[in-house]
Amino acid sequence: MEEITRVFHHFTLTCEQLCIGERIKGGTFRPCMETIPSSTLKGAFRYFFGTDDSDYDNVFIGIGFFQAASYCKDVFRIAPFDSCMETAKLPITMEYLRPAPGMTAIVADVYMCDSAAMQTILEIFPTDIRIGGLKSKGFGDCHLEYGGRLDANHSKIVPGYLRGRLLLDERNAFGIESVMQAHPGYLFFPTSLSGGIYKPALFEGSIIKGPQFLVEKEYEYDYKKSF
Amino acid sequence: MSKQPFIAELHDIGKLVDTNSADLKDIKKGHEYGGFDFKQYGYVKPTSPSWYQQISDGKSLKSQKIEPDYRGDVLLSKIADNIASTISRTHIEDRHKKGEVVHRVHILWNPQTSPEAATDWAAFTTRENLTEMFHFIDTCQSHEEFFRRYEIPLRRTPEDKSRPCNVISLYRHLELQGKIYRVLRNHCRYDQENKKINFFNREGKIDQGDNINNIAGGHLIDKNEKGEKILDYKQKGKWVARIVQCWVDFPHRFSRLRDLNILRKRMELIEAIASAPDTQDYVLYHTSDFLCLFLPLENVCALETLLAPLIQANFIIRYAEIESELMLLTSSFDQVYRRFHDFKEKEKKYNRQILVRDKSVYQGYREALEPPLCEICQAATGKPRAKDQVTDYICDHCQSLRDFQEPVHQLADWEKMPGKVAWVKISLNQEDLEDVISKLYDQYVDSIPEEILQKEHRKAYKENLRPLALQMEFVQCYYHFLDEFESKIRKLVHTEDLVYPIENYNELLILRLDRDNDLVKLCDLYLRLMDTYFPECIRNDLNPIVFSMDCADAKFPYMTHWEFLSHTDENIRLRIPGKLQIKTNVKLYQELRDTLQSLSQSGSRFLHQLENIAQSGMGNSMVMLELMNQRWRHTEIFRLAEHILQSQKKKAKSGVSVIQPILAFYKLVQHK
Repeated sequence: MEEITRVFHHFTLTCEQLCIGERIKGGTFRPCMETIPSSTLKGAFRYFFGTDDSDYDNVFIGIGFFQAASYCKDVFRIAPFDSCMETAKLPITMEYLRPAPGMTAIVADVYMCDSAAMQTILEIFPTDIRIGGLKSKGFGDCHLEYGGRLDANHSKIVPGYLRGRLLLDERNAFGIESVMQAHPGYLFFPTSLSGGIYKPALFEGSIIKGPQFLVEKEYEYDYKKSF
Repeated sequence: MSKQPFIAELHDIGKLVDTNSADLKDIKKGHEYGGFDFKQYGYVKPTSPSWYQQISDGKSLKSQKIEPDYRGDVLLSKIADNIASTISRTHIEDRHKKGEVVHRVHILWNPQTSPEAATDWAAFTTRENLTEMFHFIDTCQSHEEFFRRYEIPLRRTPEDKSRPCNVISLYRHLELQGKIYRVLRNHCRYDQENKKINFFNREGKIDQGDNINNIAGGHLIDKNEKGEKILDYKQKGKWVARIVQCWVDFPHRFSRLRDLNILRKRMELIEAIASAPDTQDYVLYHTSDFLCLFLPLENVCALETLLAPLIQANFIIRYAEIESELMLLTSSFDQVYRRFHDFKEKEKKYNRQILVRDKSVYQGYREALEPPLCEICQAATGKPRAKDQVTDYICDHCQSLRDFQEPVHQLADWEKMPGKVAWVKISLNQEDLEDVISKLYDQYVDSIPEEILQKEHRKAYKENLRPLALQMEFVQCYYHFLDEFESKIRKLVHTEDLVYPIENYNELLILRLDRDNDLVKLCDLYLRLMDTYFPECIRNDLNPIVFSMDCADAKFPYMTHWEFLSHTDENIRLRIPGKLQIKTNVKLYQELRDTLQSLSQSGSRFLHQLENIAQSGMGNSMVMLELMNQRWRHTEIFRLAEHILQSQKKKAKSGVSVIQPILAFYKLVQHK
């Protein structure tokens, strides 16, 4: 197995309640994801730390994984108020993550690719940022602690099943050598301050050859055409 | 020469003859009639080409006893027979004398259904019957006709009558053999002049062979001068094919009941592929969400082409395939792959072939999508569609599924009624199925007395089980089980309180319950039927069937119901969202039910004390400590907790509360 020369920074994220929502379904239900996709971290880091880099879409590239035993799902109902009609709209049921019984906080491991912008903000950790939706209701207050550069073991290239979600265009940044089997999906990519498009992404379960920290379980079979 | 069709399935028709009957015991032994003296006994030898399969030297194209036109068919039929056999015929190093002969199929998951001393298995028991058999060989026009006419004796006769090989019926073996033969026949050419069969080899080039060994391969093992086991090169086969197991999935998230139509679409598309004349033989067996295929190499027969209707309908097909020499093909990929790589390879050249891959096939990415994304599939741009003061953003494809039909119109009425709505899903976990069958077979082999099967031969039988035909048989039994479950539940519940939302799809049902603890009655019904159809699965805690129930208000999000129902991590999964959740195996469930339905008040108080300890964050160890302290006062709860802990250790789970399932179930049985 090779070692990669790319550098990654490991953070520990803790939070009391978090909602990284998918699209609302039927106008009444919004499910919550169980990983932190690269698009969410990109948006949160840019918002909180900013950057002077003109290539601002590519300075904060990272991915996050919740520790399975630390969280469970719950639902929260809200009825947004329509101030024009002066009445509540149809209630929406939102899924969110909260600490599992016996735990005090949700814990996640966040891995950010190194860049000039990342280097400038490392000094300010630990710090607080906000991630996900329902911020006005108190969701998404996260505490981030810097855990250091990733060691060689976590950076070994192995074939395995991807743990989270990242844009297809970001695979080089993460050191993914090849995608043997894509589990396809789309993630949001901002193209302006107020809008963006959905770009092709790799979802959980894709089989990749990449750094070990991205891999949930190693792939044990053949993937070449022949011996 | 007769213009009758060549029917591969007829090669084993002789197994339906009772050669021990009073009338026949003096004139015939064994099931092959190649050397039978027709003149002596006054019979007319069949002239159909299917007859040539009775000739034992049909394993080579050089046989002089078989007409040249049909030598290729006979050879292919023998290759298919070997591939379809449940116990690999390549394996045995020191082939021992066959075990005790029994005339019944030992059904691994339900041995009681096989009659102890079967006397009614045979189709032909008299000399007159033999005439009928020879006449049928000559006049039979198709394998369907053969199966229709002799279905009952075919299902009662084992493929191999010696223990422990008597685990699959001749019917299932021949069904599998016939499909494999026809696929091979479609992808080769018989060169009569040179007496060779032409086919595509592992490099994708046209190659030739003239006997079973050089075409299909043989033993894996040989011994070198030092007596060490190595891969046997002399037995290398040139013709490489695949068995592919496909799970058909979808990215869709249900937000309205009409989105359930995706299940119907999937089922119909799979059924169409499995029944179309030009594709049905590739499909060895299928369920509503799974296909098992026998295919040549990818460059000869592309999976994407075969499954194109599913891919075009936006389904994602996740598949595992084994690509190997014909004789090494099996559906137990993992076992044969590990065994293959365990060989200590002493030679530098290493050219026997077994490759296993996990892959997927889907429609492919679009460059980018303009928002908003379709709420259902999240793989296309959604268009606004207003309904009930709400605007959904749905792509055209998902909208066409919604337009198809309204599957559960009763739910609107149930919203106004008291009680809750339970979504019930029964699923067959295909990955577990192979493992369960292997373990049940191991137990069967171990149960045979040593005077019939010596210890040193047991390992060889266990290692060389090919479970494919058994998987087909199990799936058939599973569908009978589902039909019976539907029939029983329709008697248990009022018609207006029960609906199967998708026609002909009886794995999903929705029903209105007056009380939460009606869930226990449904579960008991499931267990009673499991005990009837799959008693060995229950007895040995080896169960690939998952029973899930999610009970909530009528307006509870359907997507959340489906998310819970689609997991298969435990055999029994019950949930009342926000109140309780139980995931456990059958044995533990039965123990929970029997203990907690009659728990005393002091037992109830003790359970709540334990819950407080667990909630305070002190963990399982403190809970177990308290249980140990009170084990003489509350023996039944202590025993339950011990069994839960053992079950969690077995599944390598840790950190999960021991007391949670006990308390959850107690609340369920006490809930009114």
